Amino acid sequence: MEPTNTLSNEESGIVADICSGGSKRNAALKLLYTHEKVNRTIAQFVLKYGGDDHDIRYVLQESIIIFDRLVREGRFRSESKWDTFLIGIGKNTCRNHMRSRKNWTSLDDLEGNELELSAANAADEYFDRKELSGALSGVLDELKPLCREVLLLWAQSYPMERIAEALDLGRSANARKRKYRCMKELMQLIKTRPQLGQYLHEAWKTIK
Amino acid sequence: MEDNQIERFERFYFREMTASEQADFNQKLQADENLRQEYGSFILAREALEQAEAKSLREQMNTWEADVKPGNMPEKPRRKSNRWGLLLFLLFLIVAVYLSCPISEVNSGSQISDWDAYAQVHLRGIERSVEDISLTQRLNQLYLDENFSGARDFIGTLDDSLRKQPKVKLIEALLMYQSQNFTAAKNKFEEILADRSAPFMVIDAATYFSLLSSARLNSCLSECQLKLKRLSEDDNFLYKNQASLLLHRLEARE
Repeated sequence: MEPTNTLSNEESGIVADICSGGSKRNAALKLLYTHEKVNRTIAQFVLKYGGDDHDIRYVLQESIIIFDRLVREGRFRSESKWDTFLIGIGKNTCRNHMRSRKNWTSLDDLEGNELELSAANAADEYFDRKELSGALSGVLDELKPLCREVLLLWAQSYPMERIAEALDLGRSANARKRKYRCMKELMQLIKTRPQLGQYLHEAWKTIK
Repeated sequence: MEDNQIERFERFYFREMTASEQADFNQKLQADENLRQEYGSFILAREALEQAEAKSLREQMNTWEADVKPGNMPEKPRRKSNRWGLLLFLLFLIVAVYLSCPISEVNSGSQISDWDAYAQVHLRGIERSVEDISLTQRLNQLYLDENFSGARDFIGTLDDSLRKQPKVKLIEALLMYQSQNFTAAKNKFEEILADRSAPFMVIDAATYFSLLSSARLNSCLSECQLKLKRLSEDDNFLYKNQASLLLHRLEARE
């Protein structure tokens, strides 16, 4: 059987750099954002379906956010090339974005069968999560600043050594302990938010 | 809640468990309501962090848009610059042909239709981005339906304050362009470009069509070349596309 994780040097570089966090991730994401083929293809697609340059920027940014997260969460398996996958996410993000405006009624010819299924599913999943954003907004502000910093750096895939160094926490074990404590605190805060009650019960099967 | 429980959540969430560990954890989730709730709060905590991260990434991407020069594009920059060099050379040849055979004469009597697809994209965008939707919708519709005289009449009925709106000026300029009054159109497009209150989409369209007017007038060979070159090097990739589109169109007219 063919291995599923067969990446070219460039692809494995991008994926590895995103996973490394910090400046390497930043550089990899900048590369994606300025990638000529990705830009051109997404722009052509959005324009074709009646969007404008604001829509292009929106679709490109949201697609990169989704791609970045999939990679960091170990969910990009690279059955396809990263640019094909990113463009696939872009096409579906475009479809969802246009539909949400409700002033495009016919998008049947959206080349849906050209989309890679996993990219399409990923875009749909993240689109569905948007309704959560209101309910979760401000929850991080309730944490102490140090906790917030630790968790945000962790979310950006920074290794514990770097988190300890950046926040002056001494050894990496201290950063790890702090991260667990802060995560526990954040989870507790979430449990006390009544508007998140329904999501708490459903999250384990609807998300992830 | 123990730290190792969060660690277990992480390993499950990030797919770091072995198949048997994963199956075991799934079974526990099915059976234990408390565990489901704990894991739900873990997922939502991750979601809150991801949303904060997405917000900061969006801000970061906006700064990249302004910083990145096409020369720094990672994909085959040398080939890219050669291509632009070739296109600029072709443009030079095409403009040289214009000098002996002006476009406005070659196409006398023709409508704006060959540029319409691009105009439509701009107008749709403008329609959504302006405050007075009913006015611009009406105007844009008249224009897109090719009811040019209707659009002119409609503008004639507007009071001065409405006529000063950048998007109304844009339609007026497009109508001038359509009737092949390229000098007036160019002046109007430039008036829009000087208007600091003009929305981005209007500026975008005015930039593009002022270049077209200049090309039609055959009066600014070096200026057109310079503007095209600037556009092709603009940080905004839409401008690059426009410049490229214009070059292709000019090439096709040869």
